[in-house]
Amino acid sequence: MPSLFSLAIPITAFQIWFVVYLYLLPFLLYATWASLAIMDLGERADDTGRVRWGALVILVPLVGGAWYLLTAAKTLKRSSRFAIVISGLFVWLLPLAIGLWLAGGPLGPKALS
Amino acid sequence: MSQSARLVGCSAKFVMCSLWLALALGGCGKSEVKPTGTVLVSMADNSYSPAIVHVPVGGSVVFINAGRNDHNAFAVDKSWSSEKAFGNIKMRPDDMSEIVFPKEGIYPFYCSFHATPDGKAGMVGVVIVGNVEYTPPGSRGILAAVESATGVTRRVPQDYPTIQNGVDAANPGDLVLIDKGEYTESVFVTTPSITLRGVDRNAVVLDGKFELGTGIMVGGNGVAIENMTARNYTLNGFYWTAVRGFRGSYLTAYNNGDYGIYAFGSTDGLFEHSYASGSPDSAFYVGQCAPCRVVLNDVIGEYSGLGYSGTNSSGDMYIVNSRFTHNRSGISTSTFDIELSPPGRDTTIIGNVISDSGLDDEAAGFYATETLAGNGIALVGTHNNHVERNYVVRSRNNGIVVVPILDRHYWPSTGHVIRNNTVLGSGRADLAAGGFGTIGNCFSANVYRSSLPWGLEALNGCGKLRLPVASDLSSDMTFFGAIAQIRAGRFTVSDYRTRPTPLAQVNIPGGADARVIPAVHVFADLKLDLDAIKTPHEASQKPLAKL
Repeated sequence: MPSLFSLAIPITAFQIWFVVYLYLLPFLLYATWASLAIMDLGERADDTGRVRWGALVILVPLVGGAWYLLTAAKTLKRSSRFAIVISGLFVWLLPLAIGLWLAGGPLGPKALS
Repeated sequence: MSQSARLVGCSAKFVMCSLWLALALGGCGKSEVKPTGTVLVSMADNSYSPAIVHVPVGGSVVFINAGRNDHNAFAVDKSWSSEKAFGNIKMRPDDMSEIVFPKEGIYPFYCSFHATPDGKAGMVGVVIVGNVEYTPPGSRGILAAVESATGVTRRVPQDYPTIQNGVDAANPGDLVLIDKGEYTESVFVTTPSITLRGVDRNAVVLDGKFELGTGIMVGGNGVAIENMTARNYTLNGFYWTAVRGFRGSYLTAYNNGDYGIYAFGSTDGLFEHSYASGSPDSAFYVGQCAPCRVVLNDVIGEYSGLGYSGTNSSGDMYIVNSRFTHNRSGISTSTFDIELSPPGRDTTIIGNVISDSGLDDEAAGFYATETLAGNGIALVGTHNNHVERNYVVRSRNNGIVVVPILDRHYWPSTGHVIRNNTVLGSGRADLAAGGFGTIGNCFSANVYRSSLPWGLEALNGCGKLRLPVASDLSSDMTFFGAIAQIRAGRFTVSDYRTRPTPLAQVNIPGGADARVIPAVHVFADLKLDLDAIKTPHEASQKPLAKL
């Protein structure tokens, strides 16, 4: 079996940072936002745009679900919807920015030779 | 504006700011002048590597201080210097400076701390820009390579006190025969078609004492080096640069500070029956050639950062019947913009044993090799390699991994054929592919137990319908994680100077009396039969040289 969560060995804080926060977390965000959006679509009373929204949520990962929750969700409380999206973005983009800062600078022109 | 709209606006700004921050911190979007071709020159203590470089008109040379001392580079004619480009006369360790060469010509250069200002002694080098004929200093003009031996033998030290004296006296086709002994010298060969041979591979030892740069550097076509050892050089053991026709046979190179046995910008060559260990970069390296027409056959690379490394080495490049064990990483083919002729492509890797990659701390290494540590075979940003019938076992991370690379350009890794390999015992995955654009690769008939992404071989078989499950990003993320860790200084490598001495190695058949064959049309004479090579097993190959 592949190593747990695809982590390289040795498993260090840096590996956890990059694989868990930058690789796995977006999948979780996609699943969370899409699930909530589809639940809301199923429970809303009007049928207007339901199919189009559903397609957007599923076929445009992350952006579709976040867009729907921020602008069109009906049954969830607004504060909850915004908290879900904003906090999700925060816990993803902050580690992403720090990760890019850590790994993106010059390491030497033959860093992977 | 409603509260909802303001919140949406704020959210959008937050996302945009975060992305901008990520891009800014990541160094994206920087504008720079794009040279037409770039070559890297390392500054060691105290010599340049490579010391002779060719770049096209408009190309550039990137100097990087890979030593422990301060260095620089000044043109002898004062037309350029690293001081002007870098802004300081001292380039400290890891500093880089890029010089662009807009005009054709020959530009000798020197380090003002470690050479004479006329560029004739000490830490010196030459940049050749464009198609200019160049005669290395100390040579006797431009001599033609010859196809047959003259029968003349020049003995060291009986006839000439040093190897360099013997080499300087030799004519094309001569044999320079070196007697048993320890030779503390750095030899530069410019005469074509000569053969340097030791009478005993294990008793003819060039020793750099960790002060000299390279054991033997060859700048002449058709030169063969046979049956000797080079150790303890700050750069390379044996090194051919910008030549056509070369051969290294029955050589041993250990505990050298960059590469063991090395060809750069050279074509039509062969490394055979040779051993290299204890190099922090790679035991064997072939760089910047297209088409290479180079073969590594029956070589052993151990206890190094990489067993074999090939950067931008393309076309008729073969690694066969060889053994790469106990390295930080076994075999790497890679693409970099920092050498000419990217991308690396068309390398054939057949019938090799690659084992114990990244599993112990006995291997030498340096920061760059740690990014790939733990991989048996890594195809990094290269195209159209054939990896077949290899035995790849006990890799700390991936047995065979295909990933792209981001240098000045983004180089996806595509078109590889990976089949009939035995790949087992890998810590992360036996077969792995990662990154955007990692498409067009196929995997078939490999003996393996795990892959990332799952179903890699089942969905990307050779000659079958391939589904778009070619790669995921987890392999890239592990590399980025390794890079971040290295940038944070959280890694340890073993010092090449303290690696143990290998056991005695086999001598050339015939010894001093072996037939003298100048290294001309080497590739054409080989007549490789790739179909006859079978998948090796550990027990069927010669035992590991125990350190």
